[in-house]
Amino acid sequence: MSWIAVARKDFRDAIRSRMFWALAIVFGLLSIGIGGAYGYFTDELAASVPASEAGIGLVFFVQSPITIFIMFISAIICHKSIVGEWEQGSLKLLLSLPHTRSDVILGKIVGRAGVIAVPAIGSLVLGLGLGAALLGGSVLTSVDFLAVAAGFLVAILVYIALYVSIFVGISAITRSSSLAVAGSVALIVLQFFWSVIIALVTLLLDLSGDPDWLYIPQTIMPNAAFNELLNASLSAMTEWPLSANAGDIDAVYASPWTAAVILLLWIVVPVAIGYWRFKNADL
Amino acid sequence: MAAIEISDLSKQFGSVTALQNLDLTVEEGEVFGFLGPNGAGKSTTIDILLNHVRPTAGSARVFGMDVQDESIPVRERTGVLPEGYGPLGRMTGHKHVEFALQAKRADGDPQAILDRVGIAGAADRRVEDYSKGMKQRLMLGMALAGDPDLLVLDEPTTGLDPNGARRMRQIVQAEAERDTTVFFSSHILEQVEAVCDRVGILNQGHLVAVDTIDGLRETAGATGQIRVAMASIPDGLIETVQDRDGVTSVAVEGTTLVVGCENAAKGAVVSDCYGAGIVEDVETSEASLEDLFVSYTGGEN
Repeated sequence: MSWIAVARKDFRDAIRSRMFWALAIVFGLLSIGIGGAYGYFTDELAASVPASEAGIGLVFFVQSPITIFIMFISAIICHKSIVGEWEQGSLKLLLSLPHTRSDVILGKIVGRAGVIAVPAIGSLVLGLGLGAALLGGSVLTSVDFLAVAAGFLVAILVYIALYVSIFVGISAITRSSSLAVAGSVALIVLQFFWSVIIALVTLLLDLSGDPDWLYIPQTIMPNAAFNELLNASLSAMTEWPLSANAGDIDAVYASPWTAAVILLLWIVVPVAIGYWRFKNADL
Repeated sequence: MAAIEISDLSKQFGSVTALQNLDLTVEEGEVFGFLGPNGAGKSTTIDILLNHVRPTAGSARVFGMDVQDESIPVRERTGVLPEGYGPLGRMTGHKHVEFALQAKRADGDPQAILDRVGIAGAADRRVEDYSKGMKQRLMLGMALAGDPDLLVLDEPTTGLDPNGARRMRQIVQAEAERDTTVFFSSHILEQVEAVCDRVGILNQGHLVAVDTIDGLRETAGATGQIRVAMASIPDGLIETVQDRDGVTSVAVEGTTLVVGCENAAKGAVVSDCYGAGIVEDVETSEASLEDLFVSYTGGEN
């Protein structure tokens, strides 16, 4: 269980850095800004729909910029977590004590996830609270809104775990910080251009009428899988119709469960490869 | 049981041989000095003991436990002052020692440990503001946390002022009195001389000598060096001299033959030279411990 000690040290080291406070402030401003703007500018529109719908609209308005921000922050905070300390020699210190290499990887994941999760959750509670308050009195107390907001916060924790795990994994796989940067940037760029790539390939292969199996490549990237799963989960909680890729496909695999499996693979596979590389490496 | 038992240990980094067929046993309670120039393989040996680095061949045991298969139990009983440990975290000195105690699952008073290494006054300061010497003292404190049975100190006096080096020596001696085994690596002879029962000299991955300080002194006293300057070095002379009893090394510098040998063999070496060619000058000297170290390690320090 000594990963807990490693995680605690990692977290404590981080919250004493200026970087952490800068992150917390930017996070807070972003969240309050987006939530507040939505509440401020759509309050009249919101008055014409049920409070629950207005609240859910707020959650989805906040979701997209916040998740992208978290993805970048995770990359910045995690890409050097293993390889950077390896290069600097800090790992020798950690591993001269009776910690295993899996303790180090797990401790880094949990510690850095905490570093992101604490300001993220705090900021989102403030941002969603402010937005809901501006929308009108009944939104903040609508059970549907509160349930969706709580579900969203849980989803954000999963999202943080997802990206921290991926980038710590990349950090453990690579043998130099610059490779870790390259790997992390490559993944992010690929995310953004994935749908374009799929569209191009579909065009090149002359796949008319979008075959069912296209659901798999469309859902294979972490953000796509996360969105698919989030939309499906929140749809199940409310009457709000959410568009999910799986919506009008009949195939068995076109279900949120596929997205859940893909998400789980993203959480597990990079870090498993990283652990295997790191376990066998000379420090 | 031996504290450290290294047998036939080799380590290859790509095409570089860091260690070759190292055999070494350090008994429990012993203070063992591991000497050698920078790059001789001292840190690699220590890294293997701590499972930071995996050997290419051979094995090592600490208190009878395999350093690879039982690395955690090994490190639970070992206190380590690593070399080149990189930046520390942002926590205070007190928290760092607490962290080490926690990892060792040991009770202990961090303040008492910091007092022992002489930085009690800086306990609540963040270690990123520590001077190099203070960091080194903190590292020693972390190594002492949990009263280890084996202390591994890799170049421990790096960055220490004379007072710090003296305190380090006193702590090593105090630990030795409590029957802690100390494995102490250094490239500075006099530090090792002051505290160690036995020393091993490592050069280019090979263990070239293992002996007590007194034993080394005797060897140093009994051997010397003779330099014979000649008009030219005749063919076959080197082989002839090498075959003499008591000759340990033969080297050529220009047209000067440099022979390391027991004092008793010097006459024979000189007569060999006279028999083979024109001798211009003969110099003879006795080796000090320092010379011995230099001769074992090829003089490049």
